Amino acid sequence: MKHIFYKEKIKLNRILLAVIIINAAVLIYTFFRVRVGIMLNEPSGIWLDIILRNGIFYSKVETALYVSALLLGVMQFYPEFERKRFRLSCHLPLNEYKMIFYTSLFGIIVLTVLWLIDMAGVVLLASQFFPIDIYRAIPLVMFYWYINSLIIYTFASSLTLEASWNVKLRLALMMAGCIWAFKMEVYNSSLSYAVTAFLFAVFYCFSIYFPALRFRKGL
Amino acid sequence: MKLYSKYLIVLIAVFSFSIIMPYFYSIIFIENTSKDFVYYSEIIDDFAVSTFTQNRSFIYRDKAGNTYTEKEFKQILPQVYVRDLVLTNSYSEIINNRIISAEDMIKYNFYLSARAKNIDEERIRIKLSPVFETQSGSANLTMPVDLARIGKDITFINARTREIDKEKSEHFTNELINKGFTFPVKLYGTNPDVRKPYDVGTFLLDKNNTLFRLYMVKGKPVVEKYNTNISNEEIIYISIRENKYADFYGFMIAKSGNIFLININHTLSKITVDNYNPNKDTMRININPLHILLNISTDKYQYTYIYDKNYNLLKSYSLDIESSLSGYRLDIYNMLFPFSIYHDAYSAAGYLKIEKTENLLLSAVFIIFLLCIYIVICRYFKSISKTTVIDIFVIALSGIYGFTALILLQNFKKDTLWE
Repeated sequence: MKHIFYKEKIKLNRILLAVIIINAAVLIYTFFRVRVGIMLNEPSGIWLDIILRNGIFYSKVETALYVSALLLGVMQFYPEFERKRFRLSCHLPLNEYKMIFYTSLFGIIVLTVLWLIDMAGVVLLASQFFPIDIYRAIPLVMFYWYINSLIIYTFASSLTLEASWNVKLRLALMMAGCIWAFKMEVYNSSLSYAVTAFLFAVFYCFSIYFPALRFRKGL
Repeated sequence: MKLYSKYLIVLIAVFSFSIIMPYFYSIIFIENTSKDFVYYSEIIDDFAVSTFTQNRSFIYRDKAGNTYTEKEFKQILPQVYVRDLVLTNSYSEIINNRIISAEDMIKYNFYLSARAKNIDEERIRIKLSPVFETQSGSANLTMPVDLARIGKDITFINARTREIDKEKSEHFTNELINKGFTFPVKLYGTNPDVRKPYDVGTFLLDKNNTLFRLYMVKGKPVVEKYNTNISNEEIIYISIRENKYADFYGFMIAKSGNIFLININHTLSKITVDNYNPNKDTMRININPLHILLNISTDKYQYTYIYDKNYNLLKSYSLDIESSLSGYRLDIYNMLFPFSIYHDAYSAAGYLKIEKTENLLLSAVFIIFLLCIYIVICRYFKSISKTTVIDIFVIALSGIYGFTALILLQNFKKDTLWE
């Protein structure tokens, strides 16, 4: 596992740097946007606006996370597909299922860390301007973003790894409907629903095996 | 593992298709439906209905089936068209042996409403609310610098400093307790809009289901208790709307569907309603000098009830609501989709709603047809294998979704996708 992670790290060095910069830049931008809003308006009015309209004042972070998931999904598997490295990797002295699992796991771990950093950043930012009632509701909203980012990552990596454009299109048709299935735009939604959505996302992540095994067989 | 990966994709596709296919079917085949607006006319002593037809024109009729011109229809509904009637000098102040001036008809005509979505939103709303100064000396209300956290007590948080105003919090909490309030707050309702002409305060239900009104006068709390017993009702929504001509502050909705008007004289007026599920339906009330009209819109029916001034039910009328899919389009929908999944990102309770077909028999017949087609295809391409049994099971359970997924995954000419 360590070796695969190391291989992925070397392969994605620049992409990792890019996604970290994108997410950090969005967090900094969000901080200044909120600060300006609070400075120019009555803070209680801003609080109330967030409460009454379910205002997601950090929504740019969502976009950044999805862009990161897409970039990771494509860039992690594009070189494998383009230079047929993946087939070579499957001949490494490691069970091919484990190899696929660890390769995919690397991307998921990167996304998880990125999401945790984003969440910590947003909560820290919110704690500077808003009461606990508002910022303690943020992690659940962002949890859905994490679920969606996992789905986007798997969707992108599955399509990238699939060699045939014909099957690529069919897979896109079959998997695309799940991308926005767990979008949530309100605070304080049900925790049980979030857990169900997360379990589905985990289930969805394993769909990478289908194009991976086809690719390994040279279809 | 190869086999698992195939069926994993199939299951994902079934989920995905059950969201996408019904959605696209609905937006492609949606019909322009006619909409009925039901009123009650004291002049003809019957329900009057204006129907906005598919041709975008109105048809005016009454419950008995008599039709009216637009002018006639307006004249039998002075409480609805008072402004038009005044404009054309055709408003008659004598209505059903009562004298009601046009000015009074306009002033004392109130519309209240609650959608299931409003109730859902209030349920999950972050429990912070403004308590306005009701006598600030200014004509306009100003946004307070603090918001009150309403729950196990009342805690004011200064938004500028994010610090708790302990003194004010204790003052308000103690004032409530002194007036008999038992914390925690079960439910509260207020109109937090600063653009309203004045503020009537916040209405709170305590642990014992007793209603209290809380408002602020020159920085001090004023608490009024409602001595009414609603302990047997589970109140799920409180709506407050300021109107200086109304003799009520707002209304409450119970889980049972009963509605309680919150009167300014510290009483509650109970409106008993049948066929109302607050968590699904839309409710509209029109209180006018002639009567009280209550309209409940479910997904299939529209119920209209008329009450007298003492909230006694006088008459009721129900109409079917036209579905945006009807006739053969609806039959095809029910046949094609054994179930469908809807997603509402803005609903905390909506989530993913699974709705099963309304015509189970038609759906079952279509699934059998799909199974036959699938077997014929497999036989034609000589691709029948051990997994065909699983495929049949998938199609039998998911219908067109599983069928489409399996056809999309299948490469009949060279069956090498998962073998």
